[in-house]
Order: sequence, then C-alpha cells, then structure tokens
Amino acid sequence: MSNSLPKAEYLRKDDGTVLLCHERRDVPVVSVLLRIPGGNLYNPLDRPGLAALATDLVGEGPVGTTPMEWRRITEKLAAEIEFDSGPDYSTIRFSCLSENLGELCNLTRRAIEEPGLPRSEWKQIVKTMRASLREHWAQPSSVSNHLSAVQSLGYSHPLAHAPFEKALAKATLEQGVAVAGQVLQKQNGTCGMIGGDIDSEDGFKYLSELVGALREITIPVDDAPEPKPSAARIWIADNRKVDQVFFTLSRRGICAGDPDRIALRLANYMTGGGAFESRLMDKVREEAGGTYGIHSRLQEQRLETPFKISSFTKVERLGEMLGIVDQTLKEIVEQGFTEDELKTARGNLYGALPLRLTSPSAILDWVAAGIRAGLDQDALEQDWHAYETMPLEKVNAAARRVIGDGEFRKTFVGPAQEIQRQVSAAGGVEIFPFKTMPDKWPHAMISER
Amino acid sequence: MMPSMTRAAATSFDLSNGLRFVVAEDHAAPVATLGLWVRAGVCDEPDDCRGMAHFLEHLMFRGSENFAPKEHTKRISLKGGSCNAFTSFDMTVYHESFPSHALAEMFELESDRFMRLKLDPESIEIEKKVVLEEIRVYENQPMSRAFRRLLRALGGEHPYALDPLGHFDNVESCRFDDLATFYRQLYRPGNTFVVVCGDVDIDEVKKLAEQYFGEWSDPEGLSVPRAVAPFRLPTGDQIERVSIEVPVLARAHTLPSSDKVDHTALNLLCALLADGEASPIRETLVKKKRLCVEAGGMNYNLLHGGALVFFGAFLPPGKFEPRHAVIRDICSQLAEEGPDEALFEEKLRRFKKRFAFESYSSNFQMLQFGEAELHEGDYRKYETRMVDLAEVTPARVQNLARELFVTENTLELSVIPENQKWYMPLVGLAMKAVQK
Repeated sequence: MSNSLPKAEYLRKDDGTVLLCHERRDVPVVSVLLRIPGGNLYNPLDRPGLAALATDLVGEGPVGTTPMEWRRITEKLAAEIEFDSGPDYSTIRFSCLSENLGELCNLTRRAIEEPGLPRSEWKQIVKTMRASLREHWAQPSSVSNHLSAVQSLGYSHPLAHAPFEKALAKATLEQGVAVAGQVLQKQNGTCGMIGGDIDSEDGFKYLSELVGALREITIPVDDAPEPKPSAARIWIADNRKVDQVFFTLSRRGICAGDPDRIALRLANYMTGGGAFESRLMDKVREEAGGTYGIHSRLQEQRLETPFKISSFTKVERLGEMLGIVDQTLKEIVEQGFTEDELKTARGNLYGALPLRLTSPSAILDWVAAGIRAGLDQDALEQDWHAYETMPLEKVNAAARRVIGDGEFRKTFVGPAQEIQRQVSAAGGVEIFPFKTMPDKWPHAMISER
Repeated sequence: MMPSMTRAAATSFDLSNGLRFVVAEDHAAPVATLGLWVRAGVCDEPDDCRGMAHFLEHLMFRGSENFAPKEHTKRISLKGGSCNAFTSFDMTVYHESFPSHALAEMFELESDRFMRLKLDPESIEIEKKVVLEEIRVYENQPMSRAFRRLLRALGGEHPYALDPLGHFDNVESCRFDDLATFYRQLYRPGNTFVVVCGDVDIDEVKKLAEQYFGEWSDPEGLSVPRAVAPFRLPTGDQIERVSIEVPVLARAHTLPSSDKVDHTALNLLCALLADGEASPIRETLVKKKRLCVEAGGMNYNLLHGGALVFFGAFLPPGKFEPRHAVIRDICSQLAEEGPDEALFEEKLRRFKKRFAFESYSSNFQMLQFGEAELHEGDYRKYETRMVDLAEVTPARVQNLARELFVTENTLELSVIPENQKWYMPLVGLAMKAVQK
C-alpha cells in the first residue's frame, strides 16, 4: 500500500472561502460541489424543513427561464443541478461530461446569482415534501432516529429540528423566498470543490465564478446552540402494531477536530462501529441471535453530535438484549479492549481510507471535512498514520470517555406496556403515541433558541 | 468504448471444472473487488423452504474447514477491506473490496467456504434467530411491508413475487439437512462464476484460480434444476390496498425472459419515457398537470421474465383515472409515432456520463459485469453497452414499444393507502346516516 494519500490543491481566499480541486484525467467527467454554511439554521422554529423547501425553490432555475425550460436545458447536457439543505449547511452540486462543464457552470452561476423563485412552483414543492414526510413518519425506524436526536439535543437544535407535514403545510411563499435569500449567502467557511477531468487553473476559475455569484452576507447564521437534553431519560413512542422494539441509547458526543478523535474512532469501531468486528455485534447478534444489526455511531460534525447505539429486537427479548448491551459496555469501561481487537480496528481504519478515496468526489469530501475541522492535508495524513501507533491505554481512555458511566438516555419505539415491563424506570419515563409529531414530544422547547 | 483510460477490456477464462472467471483490470487505484455469483436464489428453493437461499448466505459467514466463524470478515477488515453478500431471485452474490495486494488471501478465504463450508446445528439455530429478526424488521416498516404485499398480490406464487428473505414459518422450520443439500447441489463450479475487477493482473488471477478452485468439482447425482414458469403480471385494472400513506398508480408491462429481450432498446425506451426530471411522464404528471408529486419508471429484467413499470404518486384527494390516462397516452403516442429523435442524443449523453462514473468503483463494475453475465449470458454486454446504444434506431425502440404496450400485456394498478378514508366519502356519509 502506498504510504501517502491522494491530495487536492486548495486555495484559501481572504473572505474565508476555500476552493478545492482534484485533477484526475482518465475519466471524462467532472463533479462540482458548493457547500455553504447555514442550511437548517435558517429554519424558523415553527417551520422545520423550510430551508429545504427554499433550496428546492432556488433549484427551479434563474429569472427569465421557466422551470420546465430549465430542466430541459440541464438535461440536454446530461446534468441535474441539485440544490439541497442539510443540518447546518446548504449544497449546490452537479456532475457532467467534461465537454459540457463551461456551459453548466454558466447556467448554475445564473441560477445562484438571480434565482427565479417562481411563485407557480411553491405549492407543488410543498406538496412533494408533504407526501414524502407522510411516508417518512409512518416508518418506526425513521421515528426512532428522530426521537433520539430530539431527546439528546432539544427540538429546536438544528441537528434535531426535523420537518413534519403539519409544520410545512402552511408554509407560505413569502417565508420560502425570505429563507431562499439567506441560504445563498456567502458565509465564512463556504467551500467550493471541483474534481475530475480538469486542471486546477481552470477548476479554480470556475469555482471562483460560482462562489462569486453568492450574495454578500447580510444575515449571519446563528452560532452553534448548546444541546439541551431532556429531563426524562426514557422516551417511549407507543406503537402497538409492531412485534419488535427499535431502541437508541445516546449520550454526549464530540465535535469535529476533537483532540482525541483517533483514539475515539478506534474505540467506536470496537464498540459498535466496526460491524461484525465490534463487541456489540459479537455479543448481541453473533452470540445471542438477538438482532439483525446493532451499531454505535460517533459523528464528527461542526456541531456536537450525540454518541449513539441503535438496534432492534423482538418485543419479548428487549430486557435480555438491553442487559447484554449494558454488560458489554460495562466490560469495555472496566476492562478495556484487547490488543487483538485493537489490531483489527487499526488495520481496518488505516487500510479502508485509501480504498474509499478512489473518486475525485470522495477525495474532495474528505479534504473538505478536514478543513471544516481545522485540519489541513498534512494533518489528515498524520491522522491516518496515527491509527497505527495509537496505544491501547489511550483508546481505552477514549472508550471510557464516550461510554462514561453507562448512563445513556434511551428511546424506544414499540408497544409501551411490554417495553415498560422490561426497562428500568430510573431517570423518568415519558410515553406518547407513535403518531405524535416532534413539536408535541415531551421536550419540544419550541420557544427556545 | 472504454469509460476510463486506465481500464483494459475485460476478459474471461474457464477452469476445467467449468468455473468461469471474468477479469477487468483497472490500475487507477490500488483497490480490487471479487464477486462470486452463485445461481442459487428464490427460484431454486423448494416450495416449502422459502428463504433457504438467503439463510444459507448468512451461514456462509459462520466458518469453514480452515477458517473459524467470524474469521472471514475479520481477516478482510484487518486489511481495510469490506465484505458482504446478497440474495435475490436468481442468484446469491458474495463480494469483497480490498487492497489489491490481498488478492491471494481473498481467493483462499472464498475457496474454503465455497468448497468446505462447515454447517453446524448450533450455529444454524443462532443464525436462524438473526434471519427471523431481519424478516421482522422489514415486516415492521409499513413501506417495505406494502411492497411485499403488492408483489404477492400481483405475482401469486411465482418465485419473483416472493420475498428473498423467505417465509417466517419456513425459515423457522428449516433443518440442517435441507441446508446441507441445498449447498451441495447448488454451490458447485458449474453453477457459479467469479468476477474480479480493479488493480489485478490477469496472469495472477489465472494462477490463483487454478490454485484455489482447481480441485473444486461438481458432486455426483445432481438433481435436475428446478423448472420455473415465465413470470406474468395480471392484465387489466387492479386495485390494491396496502400499508402506504400516499396513493400510487402504476402501469406495468410484462417482459419476456432476459435472454429474449432487446436490452439496449428496452433501456432506451424506459429512459425516453421516464428517466430524468424532464422525461415526458414526469414532466406531464408532476410539472405540467400537477397531478402527481413524484413519477418515474424502471425495468426489472430477470431470467424468467420481468416488468417495465411506470408510476406516479399523489397527495389525496384525487382520482386515479386522469393520472392513468396521462401515462397511457404517453406510452401509446410513443408506440404509434415513435420516439422523438432529438431526445436520442440527450439520452445517449446521459448513459455515457453514467457509464463513465461507474468506472470509479471496482465494486460497481463487478456488479455490472456479473449482471450482464447472469442475465444477458455475456459479461461483454456491459462494455459494449455504449456502442449498442449508439446503434439503436428510433424504429427499434418503437417496435419494442408496440410489442410491449398492448392491452393484453398491460396492467393498470391503483394502490390505495389501507388506512385512508378520503376515497370513501360516500360510504362514510352513508355510515353516519345509519348510525344516526
């Protein structure tokens, strides 16, 4: 294996914008991505999802071109220009054959500079999102995901502020247009990436034009809000139609750039992040046959994100499975991992990175994530090599930090009565019907932020 | 036409035991993917053992003669690689992506479990619980439950209408002997092929193939392969109520078996009608007439037949018929007048771009070569796809449309959310009157 990772060229501009280019000429395609801080942070408290609707509206094309014309023009060039809104950023992305790059960059620049924001499309955009949300909230696994986020962070936190149909049904065009203006502001930390069949000189020229089309900032985005975990440690969304319980355990996690990140990633891999190689998978699935999958998640984002363990099991076995999970975590904290486990985790995390970095977009995403965490490419490379040398005692200390005293907040989706029979009520229990939407969950805190 | 300048044309060779190897070298990145395709899927299961192919797929990770349980995945993980498997109607596929220098070790691991799997009753019982949890988790998601019910309602007892995960009761009663027989009869060189893509050298692959799989042989006394009837959808109008939240309409046309389909014309036909935001079906239903919030199309082209499906979803209230009419008219127009020639260039460009993007991933290429070998009988069909597409004429697509879009080959399906009350206002009013 090569001892170094692929590199991207980058340019840091005076206004805090970063441009990245990775040249790879053997495949005749180019991918472009702009990532703009903000996104869901611009959602009004009573309108989660409005930023996503607003970016969809921007995606209807520039002034002077009807939405249908816009689609036909871009499709003629075999491209779809996607506008999207994430937890604390918005993205604009497209890919195309390299021969069409100039034309597509011009089109996209026009759409950013002078978005048409057509009134005619608003109702249809809202209806589309309502339909998808209606399906989304009927799935127990989706509800389980959101429950845990709101329980750990609070309803209004941008990483937990999930859209639901009723909140968006009354969203007005005026509200959408106002937010559309905000999500296209050039913030400090805006990142432009281009990769594929292009050299850095042309790549930076195109990116500068695209980023230059973003409007100058007038409404700065709120900074990271503090997580506000719920008082009750146990939440149950009562769903009597399922014969399994979907559960998530969560506690405070980390932010990108955490100084212990390498030890933490290794510890997470061995706990439940490393699929079949993890302790939890081994004990709960491979030995007890209690589930099809159990995973721990350590996320490194700009905002602190909870550390989570999620799984599902048949209703009657819930108590037994939670017991195995508790015992496994206790053993990790008290006895630590073994050198053999660490060897596999090291091997995987070290070896997997070059296997993942095989396309320009993957390389650019990786470099951009590093920059957001304050890490340049040398630091990223050092991180990669650090997997090989991280000592067991540091990894065990990281595991103790993230698992802590084992006092996780817990959410359950399933039949409440059977769940209560198998779960300790210590720390307080809140029960509500499965179909309850997040603004009515026990910890809505709708007036905060 | 090669999408990437670093990839050589794929080649193949057969061992004397009949095991075929397809090899596509691409040295752009130090990564390789190995895929073993076994012709063992739902179609090959006994009627009272639905789920056996999938259950056996799980057991393939529970140890073989020379590797303890968990060792297979552990060794691959240690190298930074990843492995998995999936079971479908006509096949089970085992695959791993890994640093290319580990190729020999992958051959060693795979040959051991394909030739010397260790099935033991204790592992079977634990894994059975895992598989049952997997079946439950899909059954507990209304959307996937709806899809299963729908397939069953349309396809009856045909294997293509069954869930590859299996029937709960069948899996629960599955015995050691059933699994051992299934493994012995289907996991054999004459019923398997291997695809290797990425940073590998053909000569090395040949050497390793002979070394690790050369002694594998078909067992004595093989049973006759299971006969599978051609898949056929019902025709006419059908209404189904399932556990979805938003009504869906679909127009579906039965496809003949994959060896009898003009794949290139079919791909183009589907793309011309329903691929992309500006495709006629999506544009008319979603953008022009605002009758749907989403619309599209897809084709399932399998060994024993399949379906070309166009669909739309809408927020109630609303009637199905005007929406069906839109798709019906667009399909009829294409069959009668032929496709818009100007759209051809656009669709070709889209295929060209997709094809180029696929070359970044050795795993994706492994899947594409495998699909072509299994369903079209020749892995090279994947590489010649762009050439074939460029040769398709509008008349060829129109002929296919005429053949498929006939009444006796068409189903118009209206899928109603089972908990929805909106479509029965009159019944509701009548009930209220009675209650009073």
